[in-house]
Amino acid sequence: MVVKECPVDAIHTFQVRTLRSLGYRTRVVLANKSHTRPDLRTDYRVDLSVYKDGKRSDILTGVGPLAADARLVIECSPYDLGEADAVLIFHLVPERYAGTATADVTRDELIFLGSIQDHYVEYYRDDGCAAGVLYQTGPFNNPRFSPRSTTLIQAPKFYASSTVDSTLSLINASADAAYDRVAHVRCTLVGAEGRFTWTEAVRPFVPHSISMRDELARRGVTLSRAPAFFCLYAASDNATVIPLTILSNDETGAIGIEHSLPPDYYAEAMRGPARGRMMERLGKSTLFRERR
Amino acid sequence: MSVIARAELLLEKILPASTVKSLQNLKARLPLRLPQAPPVAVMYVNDGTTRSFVGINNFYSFLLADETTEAVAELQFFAPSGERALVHAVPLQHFGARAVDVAAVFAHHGIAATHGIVAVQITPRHPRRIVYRELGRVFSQFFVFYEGHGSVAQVHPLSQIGPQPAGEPFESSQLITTTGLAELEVLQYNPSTQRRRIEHRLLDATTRDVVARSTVALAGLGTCRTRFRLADLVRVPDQLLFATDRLPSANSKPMLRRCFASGVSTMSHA
Repeated sequence: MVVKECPVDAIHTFQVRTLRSLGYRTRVVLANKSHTRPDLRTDYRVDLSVYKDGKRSDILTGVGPLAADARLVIECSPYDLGEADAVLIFHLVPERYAGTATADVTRDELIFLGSIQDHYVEYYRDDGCAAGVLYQTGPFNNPRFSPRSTTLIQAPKFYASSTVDSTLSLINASADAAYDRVAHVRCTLVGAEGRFTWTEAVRPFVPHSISMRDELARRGVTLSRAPAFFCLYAASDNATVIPLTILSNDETGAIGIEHSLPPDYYAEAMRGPARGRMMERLGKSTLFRERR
Repeated sequence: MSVIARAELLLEKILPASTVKSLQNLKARLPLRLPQAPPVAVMYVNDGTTRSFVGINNFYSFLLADETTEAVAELQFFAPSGERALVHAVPLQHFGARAVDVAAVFAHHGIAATHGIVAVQITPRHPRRIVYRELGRVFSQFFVFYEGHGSVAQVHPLSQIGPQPAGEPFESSQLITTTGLAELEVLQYNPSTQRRRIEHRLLDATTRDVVARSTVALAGLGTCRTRFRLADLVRVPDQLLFATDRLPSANSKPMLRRCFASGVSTMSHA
């Protein structure tokens, strides 16, 4: 099956946020493992879109070539200026499409190029302390590739204490700079200290951080040095957002980062129409209703 | 192991992978017990410096929100030798979630293992209900939170325990910058039931020359920790890669723990 007139800058992207808000600089390691399938082997031209306060402040063409079976390290400090964290979108443009705006691409190639490797984002301090995470991002929030954009998160990995916080980082972005949808993400925290529900409005191209400790404090939960555990359930039926969990220790500033797992990692059939039914059931359930 | 389970294992060995997948999909639609993948696994650390918390949730509730599901999570803890140290059951209400504090559970049961595999299987109270067949094969995913001495980390599992062939050679997509780094520790687990011999390697990221190597023997369901001290390297490149000659099984990538001169550490999947 061929996807007609794909924007070539959306075929393969890696979308990250910066983390100056926690005192860290950012570097990205892009990998190219397309050589594992010779018929789809490609070198890439890497372009970069920089978003500040939701606006594209820069578009850099050819920040580096990325050959097959190679890595490209990109130090992001030059693009991470000012007070607020930025969203960076790396566009990996297959060399044969470079110089054109759109191309007809098979779905097989789209899936292969985007999923054959993880890319790595690492946050680091001047003393060397560094933590990162490997993940992939698809051509999110673009109707050319998918008619529906949704998010489903189940994350039994939020811990909060008097010294430890868990931050949910959400990125609502697209390879299309004209994308302007605010994502509405319903959230419910479930834990021994209670169950709390609210909705987040996530602006496009603006890194969104939710401190679970702040959320708990707002609801009168007192924390001790022993970490309190919560599971986050979240859903959005109008956008695909990229969720990362960032654990941090106040005393050392050390952080730990992990991505979440989509529904089909839990149940093989939970994709396509089944995922749609899952979303409908969640909408009708009590999970995201405020308890009175 | 039942006769049917043995027959399935035999067929998995002799039939093409695509045929096995088709048969698994067919089985998922038959009126049988809920098709569950083997218990999903990763490593815990409980060495007095680092504590581990296993975070689990009733994922059936989230996947099928209109079906009230109560479930039971069975956690199996293995010692570094691969010997099973403890089986611990945790009930989960509809949409329920719990964290199991490994130090507390081990203290309660008098278990002294400092690290090992934790494997989780979450099963509905009534697994034969027709509604669950919509799910296909299910995998009991969970997360582990590690905390100690001002450091924090979290990982998700990558493997399932049980008989399985050895994995392929592996090179991590992580780039390991050596600025401020004192030690790189590799936390390796073997989710297969067979003994495995694995070589861990550090490579110069520019030349891909091997700058350090260490061979470990892992018992089935066993674990080990390999420490590379940067002070012991003849030459310390600015950036390193991590690789193995093979993985113990498909995708059983180890965790890499960076220990910094400042005293903190960070950890993630290789």
